[in-house]
Amino acid sequence: MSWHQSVPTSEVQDANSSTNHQLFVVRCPLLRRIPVGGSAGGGGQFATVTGLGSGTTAIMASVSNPFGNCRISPSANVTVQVPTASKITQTLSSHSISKGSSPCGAGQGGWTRQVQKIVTDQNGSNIVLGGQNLSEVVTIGTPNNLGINGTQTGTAVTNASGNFNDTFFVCSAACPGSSGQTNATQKISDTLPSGSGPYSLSPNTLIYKCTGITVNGL
Amino acid sequence: MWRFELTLLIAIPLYSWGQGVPQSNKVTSFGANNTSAIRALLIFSRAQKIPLGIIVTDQRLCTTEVNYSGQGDVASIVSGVVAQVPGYTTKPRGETILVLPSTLPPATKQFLGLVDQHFEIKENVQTLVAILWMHVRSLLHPDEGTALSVLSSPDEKTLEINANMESVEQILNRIAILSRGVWILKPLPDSIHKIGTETPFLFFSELGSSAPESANLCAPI
Repeated sequence: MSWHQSVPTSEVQDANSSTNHQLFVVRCPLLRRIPVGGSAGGGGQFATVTGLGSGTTAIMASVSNPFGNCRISPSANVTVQVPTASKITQTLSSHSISKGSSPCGAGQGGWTRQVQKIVTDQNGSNIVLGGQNLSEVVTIGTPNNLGINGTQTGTAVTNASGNFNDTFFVCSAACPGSSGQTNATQKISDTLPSGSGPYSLSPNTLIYKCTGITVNGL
Repeated sequence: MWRFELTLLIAIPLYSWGQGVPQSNKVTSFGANNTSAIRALLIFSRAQKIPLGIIVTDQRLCTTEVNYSGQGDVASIVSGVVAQVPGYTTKPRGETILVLPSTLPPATKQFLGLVDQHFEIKENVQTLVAILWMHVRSLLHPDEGTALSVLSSPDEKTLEINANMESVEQILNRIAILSRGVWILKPLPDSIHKIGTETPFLFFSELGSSAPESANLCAPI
């Protein structure tokens, strides 16, 4: 048997050796996805792939399962993906909240927007990997025309497609009348399923207004 | 997913009275050995999916290590664990079991009694808890706004709550019952108006948690 293809799905930095260890998933002819590993330029039995940094590396790997033995072609090239940023894949909802209406509290109005996101690598490509643990820190900046003095954040685990949700709300006594805005910075950290990380993704610029919420201008 | 360090955990449902019988009547067994009382309660709640509310006013629930082994209904097991913590007791609140100090500080009582005019939300647990805090902040500091950015997993289950003129404690209990989870109120300052931007309540359930499992559950806000 031979592999249909190799699909790199994650990569972690080993702080001790400054080399990269990569876990990836390959697909057998019977379409069973099996996590295996390999070593750059080498061969044999593995749990991890070792490379020398992001980019492409040559790997060999083999594994056995109840359906037989599979082997990646010698010197197959795989891309080593490094979690680098996040981007919106779609807006799930976006609408105003009238004064005093839930989810804002009494005397406050605002806006809510829910988006779906994915982590991207050093080339801007999606990292399609489930089980990434994401956490965030949001810091209010200037201007702060909406008088924001508190932020709430959450944590997420990506699904099998690598997606996660981000739900934004802003509630302020200044809404809906104000045309002002509050700027904030969102820093997301990504810990891979292997436990490696966390990777600090490129910060996102959030702009909260009574009439909308944008992430990096979108 | 929430995990806790556990020294010893045995929680086996032995017999259930069936539908319509409060969870607190379910017969089970539990064992904890040299585990902080609050961790033991969280472990027990998680294993049995028992809604709990824990009011923390000092360090005793975190510093008291309990040893427990026995079987009975869940209310008696919770009481058996809490009885080892000086000055703490339990009270049933509908389907929720409250763990609280014998004497409740006035600010804590006032905080839990704050009434929210309208809480109508359908969201995952993390977002529900975040929005509840946003509502409380609008009561405590009406001139200050709040911004949320709540990451979540696409597969997280959503819960729906539609409450009118209910207290903070009642809404926390609703979330606990729906998610079969635990809410924890951290020690508050002596006046509710001194409460800052940090969320004073934490939530843990199989459906999602509002804080990391390693959080210091007894640290004052």
